[in-house]
Amino acid sequence: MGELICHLKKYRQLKCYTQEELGDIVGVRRETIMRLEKGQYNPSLKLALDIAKAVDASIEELFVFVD
Amino acid sequence: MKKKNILKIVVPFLVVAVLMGLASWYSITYNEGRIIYPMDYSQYVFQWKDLPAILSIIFVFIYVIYVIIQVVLICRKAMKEKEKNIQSNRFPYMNPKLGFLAILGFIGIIGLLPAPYGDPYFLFFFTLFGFVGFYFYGKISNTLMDERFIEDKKNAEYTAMKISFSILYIGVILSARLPLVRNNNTTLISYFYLLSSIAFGLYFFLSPYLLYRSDQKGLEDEAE
Repeated sequence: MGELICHLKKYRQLKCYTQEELGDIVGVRRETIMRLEKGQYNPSLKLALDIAKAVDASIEELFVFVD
Repeated sequence: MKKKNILKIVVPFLVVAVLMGLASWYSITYNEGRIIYPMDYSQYVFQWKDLPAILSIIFVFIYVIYVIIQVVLICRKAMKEKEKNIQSNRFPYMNPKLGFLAILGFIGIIGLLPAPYGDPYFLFFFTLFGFVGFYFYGKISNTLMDERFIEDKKNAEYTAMKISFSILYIGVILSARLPLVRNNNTTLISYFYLLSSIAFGLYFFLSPYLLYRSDQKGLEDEAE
């Protein structure tokens, strides 16, 4: 599996959400959002869909796997 | 256990103890110690002076039933709270001070003393060193259990179990190689007591510790 690159931070800031606020919307902790943004955590499909919905972006725009 | 619950059990105990003390005093002073001292109950004939002693025994039985009911109620309440925590996706609350119970693990040293003083059963107390883990459980108590936390929890438990079982496995292999352990049954039993206690204690400590560590990993350089 390749490296996970996450563009969540950019989309989150476009929506003016803090990590805490986004975490509350999708039902996870702020630390989880932080790890996602750093590419340190590989989310479940459900969480990825919830986040994509919350920041009005597609999953492909948010998460990119580089070989 | 909450202070209120402790009082619910201790106060009636004191009342029953005082009543029993008074009944015993009355029986010994005014009734030749009937009921209190051993007697042949097959030829027992009721006397009114026996009443305080009989009542105190009835109170003891009532108290025992009361304690059983209270314990059941407390357990049911605790289980309901636990279910509530699961439903609310929160890690159960635990007091980090419970970690101090690890001090009891030092009782295990008695098991290492020579035969007349030591007893291999005491080696099981080494397991109590695992109570250090409660300190870390306390640190992460009431945390929202999202999917990453649950994943970290499973990983921590798996790693802790792997380390504990490895220690057990290596210890068992070594037992066949150590002449002192191999040639003496008592030493062999003590050795296995010690080995299993350390492995269990380590598991109880490592699983919350590893969970806490993985939960805190990378938080120091966090950015909003």
